[in-house]
Amino acid sequence: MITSLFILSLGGEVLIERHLRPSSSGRTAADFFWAQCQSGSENNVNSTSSENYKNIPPILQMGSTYIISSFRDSLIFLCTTATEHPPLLCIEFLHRLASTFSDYFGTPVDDELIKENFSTVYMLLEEMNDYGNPLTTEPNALQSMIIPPTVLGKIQQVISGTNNVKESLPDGTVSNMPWRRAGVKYAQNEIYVDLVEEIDAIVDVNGQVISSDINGSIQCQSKLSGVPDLTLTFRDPDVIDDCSFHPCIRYNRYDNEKVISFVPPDGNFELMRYRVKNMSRVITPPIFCTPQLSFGGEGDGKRGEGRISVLVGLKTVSSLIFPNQKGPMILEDVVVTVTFPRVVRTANLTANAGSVLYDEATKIAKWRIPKIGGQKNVQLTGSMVVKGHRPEECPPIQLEWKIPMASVSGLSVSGLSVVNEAYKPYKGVRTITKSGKFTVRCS
Amino acid sequence: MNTTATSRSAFPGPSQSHNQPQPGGNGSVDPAATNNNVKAGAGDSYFVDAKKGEVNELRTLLRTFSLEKTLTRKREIIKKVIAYMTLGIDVSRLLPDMLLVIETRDLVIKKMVYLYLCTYASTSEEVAIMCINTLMKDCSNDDPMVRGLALRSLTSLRLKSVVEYVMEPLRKSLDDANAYVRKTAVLGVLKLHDLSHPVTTFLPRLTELLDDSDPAVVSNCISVLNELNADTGGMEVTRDVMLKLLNRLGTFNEFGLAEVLNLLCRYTPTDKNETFQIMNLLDPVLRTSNSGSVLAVIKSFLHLTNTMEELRPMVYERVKPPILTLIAGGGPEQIYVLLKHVKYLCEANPGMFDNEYRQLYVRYNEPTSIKYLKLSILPKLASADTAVDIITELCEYVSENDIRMAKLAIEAIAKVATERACQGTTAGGIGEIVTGKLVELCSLDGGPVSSAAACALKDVLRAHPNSRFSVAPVLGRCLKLGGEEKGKASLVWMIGEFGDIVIEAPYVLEKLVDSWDENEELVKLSLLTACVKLFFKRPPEMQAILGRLLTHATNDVSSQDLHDRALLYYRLLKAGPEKAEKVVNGGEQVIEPSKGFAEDDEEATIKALREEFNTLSIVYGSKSAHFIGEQYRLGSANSVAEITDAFANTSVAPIQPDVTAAPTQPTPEPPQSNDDAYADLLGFADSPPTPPSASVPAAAPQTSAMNLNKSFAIDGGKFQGMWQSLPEASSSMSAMSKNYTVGEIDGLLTGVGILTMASGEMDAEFKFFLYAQDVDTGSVYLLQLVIDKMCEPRVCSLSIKTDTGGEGAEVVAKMLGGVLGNAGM
Repeated sequence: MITSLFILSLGGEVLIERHLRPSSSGRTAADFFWAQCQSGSENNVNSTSSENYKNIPPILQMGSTYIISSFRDSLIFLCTTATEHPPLLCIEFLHRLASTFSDYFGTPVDDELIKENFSTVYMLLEEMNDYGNPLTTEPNALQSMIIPPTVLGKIQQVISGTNNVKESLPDGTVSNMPWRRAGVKYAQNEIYVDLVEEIDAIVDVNGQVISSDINGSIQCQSKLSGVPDLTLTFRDPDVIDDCSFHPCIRYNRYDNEKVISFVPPDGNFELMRYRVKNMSRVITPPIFCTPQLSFGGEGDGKRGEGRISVLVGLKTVSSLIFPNQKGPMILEDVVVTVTFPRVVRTANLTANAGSVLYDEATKIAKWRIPKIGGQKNVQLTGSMVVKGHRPEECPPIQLEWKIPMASVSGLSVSGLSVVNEAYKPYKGVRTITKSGKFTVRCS
Repeated sequence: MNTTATSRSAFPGPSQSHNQPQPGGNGSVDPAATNNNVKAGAGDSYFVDAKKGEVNELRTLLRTFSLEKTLTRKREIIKKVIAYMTLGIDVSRLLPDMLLVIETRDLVIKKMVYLYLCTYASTSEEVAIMCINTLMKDCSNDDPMVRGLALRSLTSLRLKSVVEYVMEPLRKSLDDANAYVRKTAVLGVLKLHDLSHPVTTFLPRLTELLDDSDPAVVSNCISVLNELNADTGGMEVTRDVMLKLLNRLGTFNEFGLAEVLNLLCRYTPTDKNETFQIMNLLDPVLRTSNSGSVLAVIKSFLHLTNTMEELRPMVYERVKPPILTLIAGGGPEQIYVLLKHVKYLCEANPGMFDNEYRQLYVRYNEPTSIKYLKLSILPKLASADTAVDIITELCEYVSENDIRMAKLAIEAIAKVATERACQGTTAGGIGEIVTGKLVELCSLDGGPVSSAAACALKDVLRAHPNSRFSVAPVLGRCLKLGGEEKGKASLVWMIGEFGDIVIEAPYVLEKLVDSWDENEELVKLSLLTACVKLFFKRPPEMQAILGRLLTHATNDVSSQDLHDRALLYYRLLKAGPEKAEKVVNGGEQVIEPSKGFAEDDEEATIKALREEFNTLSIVYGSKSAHFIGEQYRLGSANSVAEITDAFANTSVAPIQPDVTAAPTQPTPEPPQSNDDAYADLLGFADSPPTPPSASVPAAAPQTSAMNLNKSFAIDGGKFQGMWQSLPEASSSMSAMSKNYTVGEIDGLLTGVGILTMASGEMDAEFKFFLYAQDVDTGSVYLLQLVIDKMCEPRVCSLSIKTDTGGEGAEVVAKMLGGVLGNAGM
């Protein structure tokens, strides 16, 4: 069980602290954690000291106390435990805390938002954890106890004079379904389903894919009245190798019939995650990126100079499948992040499309291209001033992109039906493929 | 939002003006504040620095509380107090005033006052007692939320003096009609218990509540009962209770699920059928998105198949996909812990994740804690087919900016070569490839990377001695480059070890000897050993150098160790070069393909950790007894017994003077927290590269012969059964003085009463399964003797299994050694 909870700002300020057990060691844990963040920098020249909390192992030992940390948006969540409590449960609890805060206060949650809403934060903590034990953790159940401070809620409050705590304990949740709020009513019933597939890949300088991985998730937004019972069917469920489900899904029906049958929570939620079969075959990503870095040597009289050129474009032949393709394929929201070697003093960059921003302090250039079509490749060129010799290391380029209406696995929804309720909701299903951790090596 | 407010104010009415946010004032930090308000910066007023006298101002404000007509204004006052409290300003003086405020119908104010009370009640006990009445009254409020809140606050006061008052409301609340109150009450019992107040009167009711209709009440009940019965290892698990819980598994939330599954790990099903039923019931839970629950299921699976080794491969196969799915979708913290479990599973079940090695490639923008962890797992995944891919990938990391990363990558490359799967004749090429890469890195620039490569090279050569020919020519050059202490010491050690093929060896070492005082301690120690070894190989060239060296070393006062070791060598040499050589070059340093490095052998830890899956133990790779405070341990009685057992076993395990590295027991100290990811990697490479043979064999242990029963007989089936069940009591390696045939060994051993069960000759080795019985005690010893034919002199490794402990096994080992005329046995 958890003995203390802390929420820290990125500057190390303790925003919220809550000691749940008498055995808690007080604020020392937070101080210890922060001291570790401060001291961890000497080994890692890559990160500036302000980013050290990212590299701290999520589990730290302080005497007989264990500090489990989780970093979300721009807050650090800490909890301490002294027992062999499964560390993953602590981490899951911290994540639940973080996602509850974003549900309530909007993303990204930062120290300002926590300060503004500190009383709601304390109320939430009180309901979510008592004496170190997770209590009410379902977002829907919490929302029926403590009304989130939404714009709508605020107006309602002004008009009706109610406060943000329900006067009485609500019927809470539908019996046996702690994830769903009771008495949901919408004038317009809607359900949106997004199939999101992310490609993680490491590509070498020649465009060869060294490692690739696809993981998919189904994100839903449910605005349905009453207690609707949904059934989602796939055209080709066999492409799913393994999946993890939101508690609302009936596991047995999936195992028997390969359909997703569930009563959804109200609002936004992640319905499931899946991994795609046959991932031993290397996939071809729909984007190519050929970086070229050259540095002047002793011989050619160009010592201290360097040139960079990065060509990015759409690959027409790729592993992507377009279930219902209309019009040409387009890469959207492309971001190319180039981290320059340390020996580079400064860089002068121009691009024939999009915008480039070079940060002198971190030596990172971000090149944003809103859209890349099939006809034209875009290029970033520039010169660098290098101190001393050519660099030994050459950090890889990070790529971000997305392609709507495409999927890698070919998974597509063939039907979404609602029973148990009389209305006919509006149903929206989208597919999108985007980059996960997508890295292109420069050497 | 502002526009709404303005437009609204055109129609002033009582309810609107009361609830309207005050622009810029203290009105808008209502928890319901919208983002718009936030941007206006209206809420900052709570967190301005407190000036002197502000607490007094608050008190004045509080006294006007009852005069305030609107709820919002009242809340603002209390909220200010709470804000000061969270800033760490002492507002305990306001307690009497706050107590007056508690008589309110407003839930928000109630909550805030309760929070205040719980924080400060301990500072002023007398005053706090005054609020008990109100709290008790609230415990029978009509609103279940108020009842729950009041009870939670009442039980959270942590005041011994009020405990008596709490008992009655608590008893009533345990029977409350509302689940919210009941689940609060259940935890209340635990809070009283922790105030060392007897709670036995509640126990029957708690046991009843295990059947409650609300799953949250049940899961709270389980965790409370577990803690109340911590002395006996948690609540009593009966078949009845367990089956009831399992049948409603689907109703629990993720955290409750984990609670039930942890309970299951203390339950033993009555028969195999029941085990299968339970496992089928749990199978769907592997699809939960909560990683903690999934691992709890895996732990249950491991527990249920504890006695069914044959099912374990299926379990491993079944649990692999969910782990991979969780890793693919998890945040960095989950990935870190999951990877720790992957690492454990790779050790417990080698080969399990081999096909997924590409998924474990390091990503550039991952946290370093994950990067380092991945580097320690990757070598474990290497097989003869994938090793080259993995080595190529690891070489990419060597050029990383991060020195630590580069060093770990080099260590990982070396580990690939010493990995069990990559040794032996089939994968001979891997040794060559690894040595090639390391030599390349070694001769780079004499920086930290080169030094790390030199250290790694030394380990690799012990496993792949044939690669020494490609290393020998560059050693001298690498040493000239300089570098870190450890790297130089390793190079010197290798020059000594392979002095016969390093042509320039004496000259290189001579330079170091003549600049004696400039060397670091480690280098000096290595130099000493290297020169002595080289002397045996090339006496004419080395004699003069060695003489000078010994003078330097014996006169060196900077290190006691150095001084003593130099003296030892000197005296050995004085006794005669042949005798000295026998001691110094006594043991073989070649690593047996089947065994790996001694410190990598963690069979016992792996077994023990199976019971501690999904806990911190896996993260630290060490049993909880080694790092969890005693009072916090999940006190399962049998696990404590196991730990003592484990210690008993390891402490009698013989430490062979010629076994190269540390004994195999787990390190008793917990690894340093921030090093935990690399603790494993640091193992050998960090210790000074002192050649093992340089250490003096310990004084010959007492040899007391044992009278073995020469007519004792045992059949093949029984032997096999015992071989699998008995613990290993002794294992050792030694060089053989003569090259016997299978028949000769058989004859010799039968002579002393060590009988042969089976023997055979393979390409590279002889293998014997032997047994013996002590006439006096009747205890049976099972032996496995493997003789490596490829080495010169032959090396035999012996492992003995018995249930009577290590001492008897030692004696048997000695007898066997005596018969075969082994050195050092």
